[in-house]
Amino acid sequence: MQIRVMALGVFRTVAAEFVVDIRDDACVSDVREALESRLSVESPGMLDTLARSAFAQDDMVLKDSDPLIEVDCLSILPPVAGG
Amino acid sequence: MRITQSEDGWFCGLVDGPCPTDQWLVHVEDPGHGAINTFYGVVRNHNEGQAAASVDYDVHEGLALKALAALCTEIVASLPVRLYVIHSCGMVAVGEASVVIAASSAHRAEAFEATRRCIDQLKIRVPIWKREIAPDQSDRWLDGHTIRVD
Repeated sequence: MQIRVMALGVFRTVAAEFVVDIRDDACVSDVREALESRLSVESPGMLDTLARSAFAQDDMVLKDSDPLIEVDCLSILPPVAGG
Repeated sequence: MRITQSEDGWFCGLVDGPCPTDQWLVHVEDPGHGAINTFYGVVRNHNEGQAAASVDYDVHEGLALKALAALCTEIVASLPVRLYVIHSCGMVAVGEASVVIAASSAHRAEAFEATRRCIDQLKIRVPIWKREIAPDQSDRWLDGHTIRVD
């Protein structure tokens, strides 16, 4: 299945969104791995930030072990810096 | 302004552009409170040795409001205060406020503590990101604190 990952923060310097192909019974860690593969080619300097980033579905921050059931869009949340 | 508020005595919101600094009083005034403390986070003209002209705040609005509400709920549950916090989305120039916090309490210690706790936790929990823009219009995203939950 395909999942759109909306970019926020510094990830906007790479793309407005990422589209990843993952297996139907995937979990959040599969999205992370797919992005690792893409960024390792396109923007290797972002890999450390990716490792420290969270993923969210709507208004819920997810764990890497969370399954992606009937999910077609996530957000990637790099380390936060408000204030 | 997009807001969330509670009858428990807190108000939080997100505003486009700089934060107004003249709207907090009505949300924290209380005849039983003898102390009001305020904190304004203001964009400064330098950071880490580099000149800055403005900051562009990128915000996941749904999550940010949820995180601000959770933070306010925690503070008001643990301290006898009324609490107000708003944060900017988008462009804020040097000298303008990007965050405004006000806390009132019967005595000053709780108002000081609520304000400090609010800004300290906001910086590490609320999904907001800074793109700092220099006077020559070059820009950079600032690093921050991970909010991974595993």
